[in-house]
Amino acid sequence: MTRAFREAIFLALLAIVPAVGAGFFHRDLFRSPADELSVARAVAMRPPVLWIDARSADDFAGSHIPDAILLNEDNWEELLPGVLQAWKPGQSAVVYCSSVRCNSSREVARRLREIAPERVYVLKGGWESWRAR
Amino acid sequence: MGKLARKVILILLRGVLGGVFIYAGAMKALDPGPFAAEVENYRLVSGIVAAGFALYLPWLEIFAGLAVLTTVAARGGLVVLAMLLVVFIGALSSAWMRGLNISCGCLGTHFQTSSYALLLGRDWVLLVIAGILSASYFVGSQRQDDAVNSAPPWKR
Repeated sequence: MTRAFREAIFLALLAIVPAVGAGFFHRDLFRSPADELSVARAVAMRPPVLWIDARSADDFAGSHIPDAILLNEDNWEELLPGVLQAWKPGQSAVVYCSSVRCNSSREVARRLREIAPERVYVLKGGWESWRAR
Repeated sequence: MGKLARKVILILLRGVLGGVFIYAGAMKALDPGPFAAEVENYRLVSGIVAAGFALYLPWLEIFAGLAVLTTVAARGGLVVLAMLLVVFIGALSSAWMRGLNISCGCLGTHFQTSSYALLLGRDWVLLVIAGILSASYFVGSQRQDDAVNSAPPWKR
């Protein structure tokens, strides 16, 4: 039994070495929140994500990510039922606003997590990063 | 059961248990970002702790899986995998009770499932395999001790 635990501790300590190396390689994990997704990652997710646009209605009408649904803080009560209806079980949602500088996507994501058990992410770089792809 | 059949079964069980964890760890080590997000979805840890967990756990799975597969430090590998499985079962059960919809993230993003029954069933099967392999080592070392104790003093 003692030998088993000695070996277990050895393995646990051994795993720290490559983990620290991985930490240097993936420094962005510590800088950006784990709920943030890049455009590439969001597009690659299966099943396809539900895109939620947290900008103003005018910005949304101007252009938006294909199949995105508008949900902003100004018209939350009015727009939320439509989002909940479109949101399929097991489907992740990705919220975006204008750019990396705006905070409305974080706020909308936070409010969605309070009412829905599904996974909610924030798009890294927002609408600007989608346009740049 | 014949000695050979028992040996083959144990080799197969080692292959399954070690192989699953090596594969699972490798998939997560290659892309820890989505796994970190999945860890956060359990709502047990978040931020830097979730990121650290997502970076460390895959390597622990790989080394423990290799230990079981190659029988180098296999006892320790079995202890690590059994403890990990207990933690996974606890986390899944907790998420299920709280009504969270998660996809485990256990095998990276390639094999996602949100079925709690499937996930828990799989982890319980792996835990039973770890238990069987651990028992085989315990029985094996007991037999060694008995053989040494029953041998005449000049042969010990």
